[in-house]
This record gives sequence, structure tokens and C-alpha cells, in this order.
Amino acid sequence: MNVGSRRSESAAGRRPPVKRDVRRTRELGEPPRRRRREQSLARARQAREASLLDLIDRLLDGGVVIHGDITLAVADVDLVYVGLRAIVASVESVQPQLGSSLEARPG
Amino acid sequence: MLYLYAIIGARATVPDVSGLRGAAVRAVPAGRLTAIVSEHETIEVATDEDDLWAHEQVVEALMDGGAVLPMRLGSVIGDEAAVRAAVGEREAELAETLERIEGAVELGVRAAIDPASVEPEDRGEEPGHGPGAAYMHARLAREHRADEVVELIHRPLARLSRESARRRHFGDDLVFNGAYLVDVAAVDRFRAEVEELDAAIGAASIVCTGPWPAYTFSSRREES
Repeated sequence: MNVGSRRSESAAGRRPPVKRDVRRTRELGEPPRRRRREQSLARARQAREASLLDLIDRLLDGGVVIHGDITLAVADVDLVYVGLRAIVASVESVQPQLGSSLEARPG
Repeated sequence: MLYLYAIIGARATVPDVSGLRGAAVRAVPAGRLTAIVSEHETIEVATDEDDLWAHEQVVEALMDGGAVLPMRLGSVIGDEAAVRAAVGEREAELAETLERIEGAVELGVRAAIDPASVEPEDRGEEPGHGPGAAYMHARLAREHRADEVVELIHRPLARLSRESARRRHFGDDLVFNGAYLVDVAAVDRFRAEVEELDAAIGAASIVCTGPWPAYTFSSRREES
């Protein structure tokens, strides 16, 4: 199976129109009692949000870290993290979590 | 300075893909390994999606040709000599990790547990205990039930994977965030399993993301 080419297609399709589509991650928890059409729209949105969140998690918290001469040139990882998560979560659902997010990050 | 995207095995060709800010991507051989870099006067990864996807797309393009160890976002280093030194120092370990992930991809699973499904029945205040104790009891019962739901999701998926890890999640305790290293040949089966679990477990809404480069399984640190 050619994973790579499927990846690029899905990467393009996955890229969410974030600024126009600010949603709450909390909506993931709604009970599954909706009409079919609404449900499939909600699922598509869910998948987009989940993909962006998963990408952010992995880029900022995963991957090879080599110490020594390699430095991390990201402005401020915690701020980037919080800022990007704020794109997909509404301000009200992110803010109560800010404290624990920052505490949970390794020093 | 050089921006680092990934480390791969010794390979002749680099895919035709541009890097951060449209920069050309090139290979720097380092012993048995190859570092994939782009050159910049100065670079600091911005807080927008463009830079994230630019990094990600280089790594994804490399996945066509075999196993890839993605670098943490924002890794920069002075020059090619420094790349060879830094990679060379950990060559054995990195080569071993490459072998470990060969032929597999990372899949993400996010599950949001319905709060109502883990809410304990209201038993009122038990005689001899104050409201503080009742609150603690309710909280423990809720955590216990959430753990049970997570087990229902995680166990069958872990069985379909080479390795699995529960990623740290931030804030909401009712969100499960798992990572699974899955053989390329088993990806469809894994996705089908996620859909079945989503349909079968009413208490949670479950989504599968990826396939991703093996970000979670490339770092030495234990994730679970």
C-alpha cells in the first residue's frame, strides 16, 4: 500500500478552515441522538478538529529530540500550544484548562 | 542555519517537496543515517498553521520511501558538520528506532466520554459523612467509570498494534487520547475496529486520526 501518496491527499483534505470554523471540542461529548445528516456533518467536523489537535500534540510533544547543538526555535512552546489549541476550542472551554495545561508540561 | 525535519536511513533521493517558507529541502548524510534539512538565514517557527503543515508535509512526503523519524517541531542546528556530530552521537539508537517503526504508521484515537454516562447515582449524604466526603466519593466513582470506558476502547486497539501509548491530555479528564503504532497492512482493520467501537460504546464518541509519522514512538521518553 502506498501510504505516502494517500497521506498527501488526506493531508490536503484534512487541513481545516480553522478561522472560519471555530468550534468547541466539548461538542465531541454530545449524546448521539441526532438526525443522520446532522450526525454525519458533526462527525466530519469532529474528525477535522481531532486531526488538527492530534497534529499539534505530536509536533510539539513528539518527535526526536537531540540535545547539544540542536536548539528548538519555537517562540515559546507553551504559548504556541495554548494559542493553537485556542483555535479549535472556544475561549470559554480552553480558559479553565490553561492552568492545568501549563502545569502538565515538562519543565 | 539548518532546520531539521526528519532522520531517515541512507537514501539516494529526496522527495520533491518544499520546506518551511518555501525553502528547498536537502539531505545531509550522517553515517548510516540521513538528516533532511532546509537552509535559512534565521528561522523561528511561527505560531500559525502554515509552519506546522510545512514541517508535517516534508515528513509525510518522506514516508513514501521508508521509515522516517520525525524531528520535534522547531529543531535547528548550525551547519552540516554539526548535523553529522549530533546525529552520529546517537546513531545506534536512532537506527534501532528506525527499524522498530519500519513498515508501520502511527494512528491517533481521540475519545470524548459523555459526562452523563459516568455520573454516579445520587446517593445523598450518607449518615456520618459530610458533603466533602460525598463529593470525593462521587469524584472517585466518576473517574473509575471513565477509566472503565477507556479500557473498553484501548484494549482491543492495543491488540491490533505493535506498540501503543496513552498520550498526556490537557485539561478535560473525559477525553482519551491514544497513539498506536500499526502495521501498514493492518491500518484498514484498525480503522474498522474504531468505527465498531464507536458504534458499540454509547458512552463515548471515538475518532481515528492519521496515519501520522511515528511522532509518539520516535522519542525515547515513555509516554504512558
